[in-house]
Parts: sequence; C-alpha cells; structure tokens
Amino acid sequence: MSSKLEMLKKERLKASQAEKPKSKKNQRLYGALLITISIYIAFYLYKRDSILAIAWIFSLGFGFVLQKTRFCFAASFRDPFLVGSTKLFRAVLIALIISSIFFPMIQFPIHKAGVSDYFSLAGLVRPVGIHTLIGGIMFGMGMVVAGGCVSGALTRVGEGFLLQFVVFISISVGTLFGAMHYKFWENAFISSAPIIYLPDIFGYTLAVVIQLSALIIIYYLAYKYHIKRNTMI
Amino acid sequence: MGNIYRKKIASLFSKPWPYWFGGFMLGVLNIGIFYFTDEPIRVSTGFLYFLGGILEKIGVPVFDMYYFSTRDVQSLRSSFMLNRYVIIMFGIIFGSLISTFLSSDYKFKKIKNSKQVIFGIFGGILMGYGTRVAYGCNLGAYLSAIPSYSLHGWVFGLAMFAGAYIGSKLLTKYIL
Amino acid sequence: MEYKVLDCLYEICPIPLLKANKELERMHSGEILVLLTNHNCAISNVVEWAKDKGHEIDYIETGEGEWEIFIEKK
Repeated sequence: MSSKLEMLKKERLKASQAEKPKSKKNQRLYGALLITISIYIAFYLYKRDSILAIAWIFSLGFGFVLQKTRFCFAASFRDPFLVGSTKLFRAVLIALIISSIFFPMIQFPIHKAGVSDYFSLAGLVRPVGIHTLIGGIMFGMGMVVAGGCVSGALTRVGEGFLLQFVVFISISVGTLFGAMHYKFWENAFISSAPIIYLPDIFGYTLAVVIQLSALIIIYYLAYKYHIKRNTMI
Repeated sequence: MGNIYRKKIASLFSKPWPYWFGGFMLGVLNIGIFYFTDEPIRVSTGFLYFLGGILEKIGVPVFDMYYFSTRDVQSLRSSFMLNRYVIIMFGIIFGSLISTFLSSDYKFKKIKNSKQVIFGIFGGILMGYGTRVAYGCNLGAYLSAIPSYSLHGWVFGLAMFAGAYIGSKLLTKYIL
Repeated sequence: MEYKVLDCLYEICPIPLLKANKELERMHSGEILVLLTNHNCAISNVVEWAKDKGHEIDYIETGEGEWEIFIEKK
C-alpha cells in the first residue's frame, strides 16, 4: 500500500471525525429487531402454509446475500463493455453453473414420470419466441436506465434509496400495463410459440453436458476478455 | 485478544463480500428454495399482485382482466399478500434491510437529481412491462429458467444483454 | 497533500464508476483521486475495477452508508 495513500487516508479519517464528532450510529439493534419480526412472520406464515414460510426464509437469504455482496445483474451485463470488467458476469455464471448441476436432480425424475403441461413441471419452463426477445430487450434497457434490475431495486429499497422506491412503484405499474396488453402479446407471439425444453431435444445427459459446457466456455471467454481489457496500457 | 476477534467479525459483516461468493450463494439458495418449495426463485409477478391487490381494495377490478383468467383470482381477492411472489418480494427487501442494518449502513437517500427520477420511472415501467411479455425478470426468466433447461432462459439472457447495451448508450448520452 | 475530489454523492450506479473512469484517464501517474459516494455498490465495483487496472485503492467510511474512496493512479 503506497505511503502517500496511507497518509491521505489517515488525514481524511481525522478530518471526517472532526466534522462529525459522534461516532457512527449503531444500527445493529434495528437489525436485531427486524430479525425478530422476520421470525414472527415466518411462524405466522407457517401456520397458514408451510411452503410460504420456507419461501419467506429463503427470500430473506436472497436479500441478505444480494445486499452483502453488492450484487447487481444490471452491472453484470453492463460492465463488460462499459468498463471492461466481467467479474459480476462471471459470478452470475457461477450461480447458473451450480444450479444447472443440481436442478436436474429435482426436475428430471418428475419429467421422467410424465408431464402433460410444462407450466406445472418443476422449475420454470416457458414458451420461447419473439416475445422473449422483445421482453428481454425491454427489460435489459429498463434495468440499465433505472440503475438496477428487479432484485437490485428491492435490494436498494432495503438500503434506503428513495429513487429505488420510485423504481419499485414504476415496475409495478409496468407489470400492470403489461398485463393489460397481455392479450395482444398472446395472440401475436405467445400462442404460437413453442416450449423448448432441452432434455426433450438432447435427452437428459446430453442436455446437461451441453449446457454446462456452454456455461463453462462462456466463463472462460469472459475471463480472457477481462484479462485483456485490464492489462492493456 | 478478544477485541481483535470482535473487530474481525465486525469487519466481516461491514465489508462487502466478494462477487463470486455471492454467485455461489445465489446458486445454493436457489437450489434450496427449489427443493423445499417446489419452485425456484421468481418475483416479478409479486409486483403485479401487490399493486393489483391494492387497486382492488380501492375498487379497481384489476383481477377481472384477461391476464388473470387462468389464475386463482379468488384467493388473490381474499388476500393478495399471501402468495409466494409477494412474500418473496418483501423477503428480499427485509433481507437487504437486515444486512444493511447489521453493518450500520442504512441511510435514507433523497433524490437529488430530477433526471434520475425520469430515467427511473421510464426504466422501471419498461422493466415491468418486459416481465409480462417474456414470462419473468432477471430472476424468474434467467437465474431460474436457465438451470431449468428451458431455452427461453438463454434467449432472455441474450436479449437482456442486447437491451443493456442499448440502454447504456442512452445512459452515457444523457446522464454522464 | 494534493488530491482531486470527485463528488458523486446521491449518484447511482453506474455513474460513480463511469465518472471515476473518465477522471482517472485525464490524470497523471501518481496523482490521487478522492471519490465521495453514498452508493453501496461503489465500494465493491469501483474498488474491484481500480484493483484490476492496477491502481492503488483504499477507502474509509465517513458515516452511515457514506464513503470516501482514495485512488492513486499507477
């Protein structure tokens, strides 16, 4: 660590503490209070429907991890070409790779037993088509412009950003508009769109091999890209 | 000795954790929620149910729309909060609040830039609309769809990338 | 000690990172940039980005959710 930086850091630390003589507020008590409330909510939900309680607890975990790691899907797509960093993108790939290994253990046995309606197959299998492209582009544009994706907005509401609260409301309004126009999209694209479930085409084993290979190759390419963009002078 | 331990544990919580660990934990949590609740993480529908439920309470028959014809409107009408999507939505907010409080980083941040609000509203509406068309958001149609071996997850991811590219051009042109 | 201050308070992702990037390109080696931010993302993405580029970087917390990030251009 450069000595110049060390000196500056000490200088500014002293200066900021002189400006605000109070030491930083300890908010851990609020944290403990929220944990207590969350536990109470978990019990309340458990009595109604145990699945809801478990989903609640896991979503707390999601929110905690997303905030602690400053995770941002919008940045994972935006940073590679804006600043040449694929760190976040690769972190998302890690999540996808791990999930792709273990999801089949839950999903394939159910599929094997016979499924008539893919909407009720475990996991999220949905029709793919032009609507996916259009919806995805809209979503991609929206998330970069709004300063965060859906999960990012929720995370940042939890950090105190009033702006993300506005984004939260806007997302809700957007989903309402989308729902209002849903019939149009269904007639135009969705009703004629196929559901492409990879194991149907490749069989169970090959589908997993192909998907994992693709993800790992993309990870490797992202890594090489990152090195290239960050060592050029 | 005990003091050093306490400081280390405190800084463990107050310093951000590395991205790769976040990715790892998201994968683990998604496997967990899938295993224990029969469905992986998805949340954008929660926004719709929440707003729709509130509007219904003030008399707007949102749930009469064609979109809801295949959904359980009755249970939504009796309680629009008690479904997994709204619960997950608030769970993420709560989890983030807990994390922020435990590292004493919570601060209410006002909006100082009116341009940001316009972009925020525009971007938010665009995002929300896109989720209805594409069957989900960055969680449901991407993080959960790809490991479900559905092609729509890959297509959505590619489309998000394209959209992010276009959006960044817009952003750097108007805000920077 | 001479340094340049870049006030990015109340700016959201990706503005602090982009502004720091632009500013740092204009600076000479050895010069120091002090970035003020209250965006929680910044202490991860700006820090990681600076480290990847080879700059010296450190930061202090000056309040709840407020930071000063020190970057010395390599």
